[in-house]
Amino acid sequence: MTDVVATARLRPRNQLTLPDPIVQAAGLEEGATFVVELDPGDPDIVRLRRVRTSYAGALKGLYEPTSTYLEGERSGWDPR
Amino acid sequence: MTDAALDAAIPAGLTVLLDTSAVLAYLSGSESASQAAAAVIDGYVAVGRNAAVLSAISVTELLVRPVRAGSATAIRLVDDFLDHFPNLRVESVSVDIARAAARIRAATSAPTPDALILATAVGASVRIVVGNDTDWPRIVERASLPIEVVLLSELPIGAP
Repeated sequence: MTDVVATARLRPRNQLTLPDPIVQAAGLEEGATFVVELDPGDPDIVRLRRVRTSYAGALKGLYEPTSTYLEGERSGWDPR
Repeated sequence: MTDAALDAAIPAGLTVLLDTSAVLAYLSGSESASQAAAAVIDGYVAVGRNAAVLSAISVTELLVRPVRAGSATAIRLVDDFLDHFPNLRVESVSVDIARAAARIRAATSAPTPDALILATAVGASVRIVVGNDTDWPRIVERASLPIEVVLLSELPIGAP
């Protein structure tokens, strides 16, 4: 799959408008929230990551059955 | 229990402590308690009806499986939830909380992590704990904690 690449220019008061191709390809809607990350050692790369509005079911299949998983984690505190 | 009953069980404006069991059911989305967990976390916490507290113990419990699985995506999702979900904060295990947990464990023989999480609720002056461990109401009663445990298993949200 080809990456979607577009250019955006920082405007006064640090405002940045996401290019339409990015918004459309990512399915973004008004009100979306992002985490902006920068590694000072690599300042040319600014990462913009969308924060979900809900995490319900986001990790389906990872923990189930959750009661067994949690019991296992908590039993690790028991004396051996 | 109806939505109105859920409203009554978790009154608006009160801070709740989410046990790991509640968050696991929420993140899973596929268990019997998942819908009730989403009703509380998405329906109440996300919109600011109720603030929520999570123990640092839960942070560990939530991250062990993603780390063990070597899933950077799963780790990032959990971290995003912990760091950016609205109206949710993580409470560290302080010395005072550790002392309170010792008292709970001494009085009830509750497992150490359970005692630490319940002590976190007490330390944060949280009156309502949302979880899925049917032993907790008994522990709370025996330790005379000023807490009410809301069990997701008793919130048949969406049940026929």
